Amino acid sequence: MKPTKQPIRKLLAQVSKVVAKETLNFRVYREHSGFLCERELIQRDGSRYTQALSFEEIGKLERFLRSDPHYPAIKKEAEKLIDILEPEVIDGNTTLQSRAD
Amino acid sequence: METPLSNHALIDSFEKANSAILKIKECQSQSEVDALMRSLLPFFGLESYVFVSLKREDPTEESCRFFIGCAPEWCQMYNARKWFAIDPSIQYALRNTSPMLGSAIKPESPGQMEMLSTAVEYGFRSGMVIPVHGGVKARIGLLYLGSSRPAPKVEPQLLRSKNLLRAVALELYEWWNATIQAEAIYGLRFNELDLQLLRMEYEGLTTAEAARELGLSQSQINNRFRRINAKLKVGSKKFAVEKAIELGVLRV
Repeated sequence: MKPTKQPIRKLLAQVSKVVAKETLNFRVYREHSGFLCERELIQRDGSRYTQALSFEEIGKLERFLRSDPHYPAIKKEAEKLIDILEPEVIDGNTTLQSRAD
Repeated sequence: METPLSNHALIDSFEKANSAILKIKECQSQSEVDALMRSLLPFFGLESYVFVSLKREDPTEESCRFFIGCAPEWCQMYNARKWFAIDPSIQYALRNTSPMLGSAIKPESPGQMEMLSTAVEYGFRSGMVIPVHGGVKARIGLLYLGSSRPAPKVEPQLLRSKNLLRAVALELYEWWNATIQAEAIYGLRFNELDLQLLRMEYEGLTTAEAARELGLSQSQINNRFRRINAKLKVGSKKFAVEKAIELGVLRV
């Protein structure tokens, strides 16, 4: 078995917060042909639960973040994430106008 | 940015669908896989999917990875409500390998009924679930396929396409496992020798046998394993193998 190459992607932004004694991490990557957001929940016993969402427009990421059950606790961090990413993500051929759905 | 979907020709035949499925293994990123899936689903009358990778011995949500190809709110709600613990599709997938139509999933509790009726609101009114099983200790894959249209309009085509959809699930499973493995190996900075030693330990070779096989001394093998153990944060070769399997570095 030969070591395989890591998938090609660049970390653009990440946030981490302890919520109710669990660690919630969001990482957003630019990939070969789009963007990927990973939501990782690390529970007290070290178990990990990961959701991976591909997106091309910032609105989809916002929906994902806002529907997070811990959103009230991470609202500030989530908004910061969007602020960092908005210039990086283009909706079609135009720069994003408004955010909210 | 060029829209990935624009790179995929319209899929309007079994031959083109098959060809697209074979391209999954060539995808270099999850967003590429997602774009390919979104170009493929309409051919089967589908709109949504979720692919789950979970550990066989620990089928609780703590050992799951979800690849979301549906309304993002659905997965968040599924997580928040802990529906993983009662999902009849997960229970089915742990014990079966055949695809199952959504209409064949009968709720057996109020909780399951609530889960399934909520799924309808998020694009899973009808569809199919397809389990994928690997080796004895391997992770299990489960592909959920969904349509917002009623079952009689969708499921006959799904039945006709069952084998092709099964191929989709298998290719996603292989791609996902390879990705998890690549990430783990890259993150741990393992090289080919490390992987060989872990494989030999798993297969029961003694240090002397491994040394003979690799043309190394026993003390070189032991030194190497000390570094492997440190990377995996374990205290013995036996636990190194277990951890490597758990992380997906070693596929058995």
